[in-house]
Amino acid sequence: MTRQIVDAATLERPLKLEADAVVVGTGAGGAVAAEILAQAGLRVVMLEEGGYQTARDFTLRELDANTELYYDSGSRTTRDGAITILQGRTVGGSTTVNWTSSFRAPDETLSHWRSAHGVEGLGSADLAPWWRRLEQRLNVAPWAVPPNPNNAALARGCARLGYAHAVIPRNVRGCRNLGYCGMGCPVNAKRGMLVTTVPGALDAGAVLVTHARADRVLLRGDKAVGVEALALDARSVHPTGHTITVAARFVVAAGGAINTPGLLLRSQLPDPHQRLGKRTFIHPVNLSTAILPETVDGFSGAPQSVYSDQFLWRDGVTGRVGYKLEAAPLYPMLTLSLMGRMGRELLQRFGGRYRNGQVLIALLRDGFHEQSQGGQVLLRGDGSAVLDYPLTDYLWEGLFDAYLHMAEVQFAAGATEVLPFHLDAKPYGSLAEAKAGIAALPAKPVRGAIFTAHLMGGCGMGNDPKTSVITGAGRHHQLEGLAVIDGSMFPTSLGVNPQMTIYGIASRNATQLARDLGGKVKEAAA
Amino acid sequence: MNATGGWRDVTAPAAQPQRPWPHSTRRQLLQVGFLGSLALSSAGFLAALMGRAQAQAALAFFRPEDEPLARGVIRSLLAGILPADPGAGARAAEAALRTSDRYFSALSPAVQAEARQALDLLNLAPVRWLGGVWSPWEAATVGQINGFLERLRTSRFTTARQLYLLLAGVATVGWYGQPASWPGIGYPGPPVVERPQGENPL
Repeated sequence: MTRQIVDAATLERPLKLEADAVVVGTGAGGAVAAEILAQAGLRVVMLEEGGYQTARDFTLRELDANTELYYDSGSRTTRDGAITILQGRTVGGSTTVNWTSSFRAPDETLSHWRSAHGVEGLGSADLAPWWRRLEQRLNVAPWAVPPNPNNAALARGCARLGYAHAVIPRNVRGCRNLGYCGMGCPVNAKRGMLVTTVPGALDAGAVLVTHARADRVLLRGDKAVGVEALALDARSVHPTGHTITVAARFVVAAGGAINTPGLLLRSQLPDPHQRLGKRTFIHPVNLSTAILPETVDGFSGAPQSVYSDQFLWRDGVTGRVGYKLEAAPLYPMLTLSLMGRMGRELLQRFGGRYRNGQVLIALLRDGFHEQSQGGQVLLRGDGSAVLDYPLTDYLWEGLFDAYLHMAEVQFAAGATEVLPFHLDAKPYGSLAEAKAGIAALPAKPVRGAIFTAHLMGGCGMGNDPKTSVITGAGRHHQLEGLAVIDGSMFPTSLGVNPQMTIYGIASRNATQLARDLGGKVKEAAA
Repeated sequence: MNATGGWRDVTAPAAQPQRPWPHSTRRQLLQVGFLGSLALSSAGFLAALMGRAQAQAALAFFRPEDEPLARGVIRSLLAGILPADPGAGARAAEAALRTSDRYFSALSPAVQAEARQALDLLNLAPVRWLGGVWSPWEAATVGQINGFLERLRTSRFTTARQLYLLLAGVATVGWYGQPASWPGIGYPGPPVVERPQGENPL
């Protein structure tokens, strides 16, 4: 069957389509759901805000990748500009540009969802069969190649300090160890949605509409009956004036934890308990740069292959915020524009030693404590969604603890200098100096350079409609005909990179949905 | 399969509520972006003052009135980083401006609007004076502009630091986003690899 892909940027008149299910978004949640529904014999339309770019199109140049594959050129931010959000906007969503880390959700997190949020049937044992199948399909395995020097430094530092560390499982097959995962895999080694479930859905008859920004869910009474989308220009920036209307028996919202709540808010769906868009989590990330005596070339080789969970549960599940340590690639524009934030002197100094640079990141596990209620998705005057995310004292405590431990690991790995990414930091020549310096840094927004690449929550699941937006099966509490199948389902963050958890829950929920819609679900997928 | 009957009602405009904004009071709608009300309140005033040029802009994001500031920040923040030869340095600065323009013009419309409000604010003479720059941006020295940038960067006001991040981004994205900057930092550029042919594999 010829794959049906419509580029809405080229539309010269409104487009009207009919389907059993319309799926908004082609990332980790949407593409998995679309394939399962289409393979069950249901008519599926996928709407994607980005373009259909494949291995042939990925130039591996940061400027091209940022402007073509990411939201807001890779610099989407929270409302006050304090946190930079790396989010894919292309077919395959963030799975096309992620760094391939593939972890199952921790038992601690899933148990907490049951005890604190009333989420039943989502224990590790319940998800295990779904994960096993996906891990096989996506070729997930601990990275068998020696880590690049950037990741090796994390392993070496942890080993010398007696800190736990391990090899990261990656979803790659025939990986050439190039290191450019963040700009789209040029050899189709990354087993993201772009090369797995999206073509799977297309081959099962699904229609993909690109450059289509879902504007609102169409309603009839208390039922969702389709989606209206705006056709965008070829850069996914400005609407062309044409609309795409998909009439469907069922709507699957899967645009990620900012865009899904945004779509639902714009559509004025019932929200009697004012839960929509609340408790949005991001794994706030801070960074620490080191200068190593040897050449690191942090842009080359698998970007993430070593992690440390030494501090992830440092004070129990619901105590002080814990964090996961990983490495981050040193792509030049990203790294040096970050350095530029710290002033021209440091930009010049570190630009001259770029190849010796080493970067660690700490991902904070938000949402497990009463002082970590996450952010809230709001609508701007033009209807676009924006995340308001306050950094509380509770989170700052974790960020400062992480600055300290990243510096400790980097010095243990042989660093001659360590520079926490904070507007007021200086390069420190010893751990003692770093301890004193970090303790004196002010905890203020737009001073620390804080990032996220993980969007979760905002349409949290739970049994009680007073505290959640959707059921554990992903269905909207009040509205018929609508499911949320993406990271916005999560009642807290995860404590690990989220793609595997989204795949697992999406597979389970979409399989049930396919049955409910009268589809023929193969036994293998049951 | 069509369990719910015909579709025509669904797509008929009358059957649907009007777009909820900007009239809705049911949801909290943001009227101001991350650059705050200060930028917003000055924007209209400034636009009126400058008689917003109707001229065809050569750039997609930066307006003609933004160019002196953008060029000033590029030549100042990147002084000592851009090529020392005056001709080569000027060409590099120009290329950085074009690169930055491509980056900013790919932002979503609301974010572009916020960034333009910030540039409007920075184009107000009193704002420049507060930062110790007395001459217009095109006549300001590298030292003056870098002094201005440092004041923004180290300010206790969040808005000032937000303005710094914007301006630093104009220079650093513009320069490090293009191959001309790569030899200076020892970055060899992306590897050349043979691409797969045919349709995407399953």
